[in-house]
Amino acid sequence: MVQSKSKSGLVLTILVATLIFMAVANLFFSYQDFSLPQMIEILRYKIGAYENLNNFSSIDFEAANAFDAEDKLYHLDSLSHILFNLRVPSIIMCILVGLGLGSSGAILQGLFRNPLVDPGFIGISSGAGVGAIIGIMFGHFFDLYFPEYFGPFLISLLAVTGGFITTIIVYKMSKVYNKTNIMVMLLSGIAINALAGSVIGFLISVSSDEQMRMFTFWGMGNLESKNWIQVFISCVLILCSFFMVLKIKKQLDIFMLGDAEAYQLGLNVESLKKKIIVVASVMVGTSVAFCGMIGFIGLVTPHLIRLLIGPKHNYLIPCSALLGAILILISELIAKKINIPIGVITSAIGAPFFIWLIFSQKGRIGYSE
Amino acid sequence: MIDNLSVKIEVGNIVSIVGPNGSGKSTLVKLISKEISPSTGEIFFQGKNNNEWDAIDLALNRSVLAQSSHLSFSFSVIDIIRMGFYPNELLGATQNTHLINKLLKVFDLDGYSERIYTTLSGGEKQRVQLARVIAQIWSEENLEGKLLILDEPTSYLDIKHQLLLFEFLKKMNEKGLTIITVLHDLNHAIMISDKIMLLKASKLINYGTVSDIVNSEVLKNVFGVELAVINDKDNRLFITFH
Repeated sequence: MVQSKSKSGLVLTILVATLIFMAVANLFFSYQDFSLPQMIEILRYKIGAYENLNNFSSIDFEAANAFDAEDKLYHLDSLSHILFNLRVPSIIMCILVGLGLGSSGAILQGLFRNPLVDPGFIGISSGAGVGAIIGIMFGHFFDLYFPEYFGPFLISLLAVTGGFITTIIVYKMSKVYNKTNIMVMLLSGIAINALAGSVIGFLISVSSDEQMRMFTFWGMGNLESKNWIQVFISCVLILCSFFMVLKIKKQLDIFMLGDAEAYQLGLNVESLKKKIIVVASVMVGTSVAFCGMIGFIGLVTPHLIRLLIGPKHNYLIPCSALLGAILILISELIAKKINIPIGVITSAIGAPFFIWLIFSQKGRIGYSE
Repeated sequence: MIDNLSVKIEVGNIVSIVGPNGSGKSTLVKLISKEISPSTGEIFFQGKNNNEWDAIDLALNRSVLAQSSHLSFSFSVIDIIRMGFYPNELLGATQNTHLINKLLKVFDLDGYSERIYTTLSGGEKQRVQLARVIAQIWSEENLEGKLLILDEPTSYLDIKHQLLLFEFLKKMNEKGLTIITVLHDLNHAIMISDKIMLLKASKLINYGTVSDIVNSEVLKNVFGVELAVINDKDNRLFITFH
């Protein structure tokens, strides 16, 4: 696929517009839908731009059994809480997670020079899984030793730690003669994933029904009920990593030629590999830690973007990130409407789409044997 | 592994490295190009130890064609050739469209610029890679001091493109470019080289001018087969099976 600048620019613009549209759609539609006048009135209430509660004509106080001023205020408070403390953080989180998964998919497929690589391949997700189930099963032990405000972050923190540990193990295992061997890394990833799978299996088999259910739902992803602290932490970690990724886009193109070729062109290959592994594990680790397992985004989005605009990373990275965010927003909207975990939706849409992609585009993709 | 090898390659020479399979030719190329470091001994380029060269400086002064190059993604021919400008771009140079068009012409790639690299034949891919490594060290006027290292540049090339390549290398050489190339075809080595390096079992057997090296006895010693060296009426040397 040949990349023309105007076409890539157009795709980027369309993706930005779609992202804004989907973010707004998620703001209006969820478990409870809001109309535009309702939205304006909630906003006016929030910023105090009103004189009389009777001016709020589009909000149905009667349905909420709010007849006197106190009840009305309480109802408006809860609506504003839904909008600003639940829905907005959830939308920002969707965008951040999509951005992180989409762009880390693109750079990891670049690192392995293989279009079938998923962020899970370097062991981040399985390590995070082990961390999460330890947090779920042994949370009460940790509660004894850590301050109280630490509680809500325990699972996330253990998941991110688990993800980092497995990534470091996979990275260390893949060193051959002081250089990172990508094939060995892939095999180490498979081995560590299998090992983590058996640890998870063992812990599940000795866990209670409630713990098992909690872990199962964690594993299916959850982008609801995100508080502003979680959003802030994710924002810092994912956006910083994302800007790092944008800085190495040209180097990634050169890296595609092969380790030796890239080195002969003056590229510091080992440093680039380290950067990719660190930023990808920070982005994926953060999103898995706060939102659980969300499959297929990291695999599908770079693929689709490559089909549209070719493999050059200057557009591939931002477009994959944007498409990742859009797909998460769409999945989240569907997930909320039919009340099913988001990970189920992303896989349910992603897998058949991916199968269609492989079969319909076989000839055009031009991947080497 | 290469044992006990000490040679000096003159600036502006074309040197062919020749020897049987597994004699250490590619290892020697990797050592010269700093892809691997010697466990003992030193390699100097432009009077400076290879270890002291900064990666980008080195990339601006020598370029290397490896034996095979695999790509998994659908980059276009022009994308690949442009990658050759990477070290120059780091110094703020802009893409040289004129040079790209020239290289497309030289390597008979006119009309290929938008083609997808992964869909090309072996010979076409080799020509694209050659164009890329030439772009890396290209200079319109003087190429003195610069080094081009080629590991089997004629693989996959048909006879027409082999000729085009050799003619172009000669032209670059006239501008002062030093070329070190691994060649399998002894007649190619005779045709293009100022000096030939003969390797066998990781050891240097002989290093000298074509007339010094090319005789049946030396070749029998290196390759273990009887070869006939023919001198034609224009005093050109050819090697053929006995």
